[in-house]
Amino acid sequence: MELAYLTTTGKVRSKNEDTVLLVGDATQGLAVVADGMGGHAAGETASAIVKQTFAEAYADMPSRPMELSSWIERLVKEANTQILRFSQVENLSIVGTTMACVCWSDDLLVIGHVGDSRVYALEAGHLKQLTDDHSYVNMLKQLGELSEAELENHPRRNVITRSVGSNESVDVDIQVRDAPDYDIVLVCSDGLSDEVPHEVIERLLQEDAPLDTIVERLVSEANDRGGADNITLAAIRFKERERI
Amino acid sequence: MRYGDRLNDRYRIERLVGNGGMANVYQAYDEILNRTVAIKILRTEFSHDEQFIRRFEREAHAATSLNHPNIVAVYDVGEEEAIYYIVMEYIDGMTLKTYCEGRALPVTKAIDIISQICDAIDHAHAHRIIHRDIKPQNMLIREDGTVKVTDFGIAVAMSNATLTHTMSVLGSVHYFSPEQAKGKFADEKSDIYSLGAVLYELVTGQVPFEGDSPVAVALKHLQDTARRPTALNPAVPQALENCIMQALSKAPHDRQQTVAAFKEDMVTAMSAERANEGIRGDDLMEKTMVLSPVSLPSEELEQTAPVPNVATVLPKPEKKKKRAWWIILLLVVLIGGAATTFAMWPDPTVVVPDVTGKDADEAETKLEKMGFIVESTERSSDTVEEGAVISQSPREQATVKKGSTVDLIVSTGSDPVEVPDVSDETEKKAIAILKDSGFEKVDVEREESEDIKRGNVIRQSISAGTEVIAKEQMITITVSNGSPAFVLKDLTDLSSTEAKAYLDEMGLDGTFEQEFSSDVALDQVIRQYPQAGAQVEPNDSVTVFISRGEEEKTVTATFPEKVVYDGVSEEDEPAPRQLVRIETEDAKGKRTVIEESIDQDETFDVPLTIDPGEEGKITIYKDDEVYRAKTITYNQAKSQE
Repeated sequence: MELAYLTTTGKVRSKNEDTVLLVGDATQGLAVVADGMGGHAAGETASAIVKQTFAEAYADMPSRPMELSSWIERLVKEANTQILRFSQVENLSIVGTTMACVCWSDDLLVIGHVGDSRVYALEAGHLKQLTDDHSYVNMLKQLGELSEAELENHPRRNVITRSVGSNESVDVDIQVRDAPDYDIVLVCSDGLSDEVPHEVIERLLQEDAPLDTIVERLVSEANDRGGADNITLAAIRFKERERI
Repeated sequence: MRYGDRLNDRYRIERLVGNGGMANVYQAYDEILNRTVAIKILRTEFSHDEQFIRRFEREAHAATSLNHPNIVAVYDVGEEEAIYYIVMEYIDGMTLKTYCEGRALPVTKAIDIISQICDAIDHAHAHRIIHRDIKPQNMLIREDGTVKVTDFGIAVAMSNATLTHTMSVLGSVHYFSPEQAKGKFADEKSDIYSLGAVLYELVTGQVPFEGDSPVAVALKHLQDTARRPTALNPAVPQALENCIMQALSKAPHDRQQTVAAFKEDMVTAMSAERANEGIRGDDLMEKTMVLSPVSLPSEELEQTAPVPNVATVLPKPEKKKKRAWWIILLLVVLIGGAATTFAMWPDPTVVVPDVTGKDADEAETKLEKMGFIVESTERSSDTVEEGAVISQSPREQATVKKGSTVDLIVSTGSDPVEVPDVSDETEKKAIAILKDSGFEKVDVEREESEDIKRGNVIRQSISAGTEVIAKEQMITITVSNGSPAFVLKDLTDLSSTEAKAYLDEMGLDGTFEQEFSSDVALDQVIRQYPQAGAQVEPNDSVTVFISRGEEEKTVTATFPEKVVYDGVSEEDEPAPRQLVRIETEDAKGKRTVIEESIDQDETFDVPLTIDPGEEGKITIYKDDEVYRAKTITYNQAKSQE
């Protein structure tokens, strides 16, 4: 078991509105990435609230599938309420954050996400995206209205359809996976997935190197390709590296 | 900003009149020009965000180039201590959204309002500005009925793809065009669609498409046909419905070609000649079936040969059939699913397999065997082949309860499209239109042409109106190189804009030089090189000399100043002399030019040297007291010279 994470501002923005949390060991753990939005310090505050909520509750993380699912739902709702209260007190207009998390407990893996932060898995050398972005363009793509190429050039491709802290209610997508055969699980913000093509992420994850080196390489790849947004990722290697 | 705050020591804030996601709008008083203005101030939470600031400035910039009675004028743009603001004409009225309050307006009133909006948008189009965000919230209506359009440039700024995720920018999907929904080239035709959508709402009291989410609404813009306005409000004449429904056509080339044409279509809809007009779509369908060009029946045609008013409700048997098929499928699946669930008890969960890209029938069988309820919806798709699964929900490998529903979206393949007419469009625009219609490969050939303007399309390899599966076809457009050599025309006395338009049109490389001239008016062409009549080819360079108007030089003029003697002598004594001293203040500085004593009235010649735009001053002292002082402007000095 190896854990590694990194969060950076990127090359264009002046501040980092992403947050990341990665705790745990081989028996159980938690990875959370949140990507905040809003002027001033609002984006940072929103994503920090998500991280804080999960960090404080981690000690009581349950281990059974249904309990774990409702635990994630409850925490996201809590964060939602707190962010809403914050934006009302500060009188801010656009505040919210995305979130993607992975909780593992023995053989069980539970994934939750809101917005366009993603969870990927490397399985038998192949990279698979496990989450469907809650974004305008992805929804149109799922309905067969947009092709992959159209999606990449769409002017509204950064518009998300769900977020934490923008509405009274929040809808989390939860997936439960029993004993998956994953080598590496990656949680990231769109600063990585927007800049670095799927194949390149796959190639870098396949490399025979310590996980923190791979994470650094992924971040510099995103920066080399423009670094237009904050870049944040948390990675968990479940299987021992086969050393040559 | 609070009541009484002063911006730039000039604008006194009076009250908040509206707030948006990006900016707040205040009513304020301009203390220099003594008028009420509206000031849009970027929300302070964004005043350190460079992207927002740039967006805000771009909006102001786009709007300042427009000057029209139906467009809200922009007076000033500025920044003070990180407060970014735009000063605009103050409109004492309300937005069209508030004005309508969700009810239908009388048809003539609606036409009057949209006519004014058409004039504004037409003016913007003439300046190559596409509004891209036409909606009732952006229209202000005054008590006297004048309508003004605002918020030009928001959409331009929004197209910046590096903007981070924002939920707010998807706010106005109710009026946006199918091409905007797909993120494609949005041109004048896109504004025509939005105008049609606003007119639809004004006469029916409803937006064309409603939905639970912005995505649902966007999808309807792409796929559904709006309910016919006559069905919602019987007071709407058929001719007006035809106008609205044509503007709401999915394909840009099926809509009215210009805003002016749309306005004409709308305004004449109330005329007696069009009182018996039939449903326009019916006529169109017949026409396209025989693969005639896609142009719509012209006004004259409709007027001379009115089509009898046929069925008022379009039957939609297809939908009903689908639904019936659905219920049967659902029942079968429900019963099947329940049975399997029972048999597989007590294991309550199951993993969803990946069926995307698979044949839909196989996928259904597979899922049903595993105990899922399958619900499939059909959609056309250019990217997934017919009969295959486009997407599934929940996604593969998710663990769900046995007997859960899996939603499949199944492809019906590409829709055949009608080839649009791109003749005489610019090359760039033609390619954009064809790509939007689904052509992946557009080849360009060039040839000389006398008739078609250089850079515009002469012809296309597949004629307009033909139905094809666009992505499987290659289309070639032939673009005009213009005529090879031609005679350069006389540009003198044209304005610089006219001269530039001519050079651009002819493909000449123009260089503009400015010169002073006392004969040729400001901004007019003085002369050109090569001279008129010379043989030139496209890309030749032509130098045009533009007048800067008459040169203004420093002038020196002399002003005769009379000083009256008024010394009074005491009895036998000789009359006392009076001391006259004249001081000037001009381009040469402040100095004394004359110092003399007089014993009778005398006139002095006072010289003044004044630079353009400056002033000079003459002060005359008699016996050390100011006798007369005057200020001379540059123009006064010039006329004196």
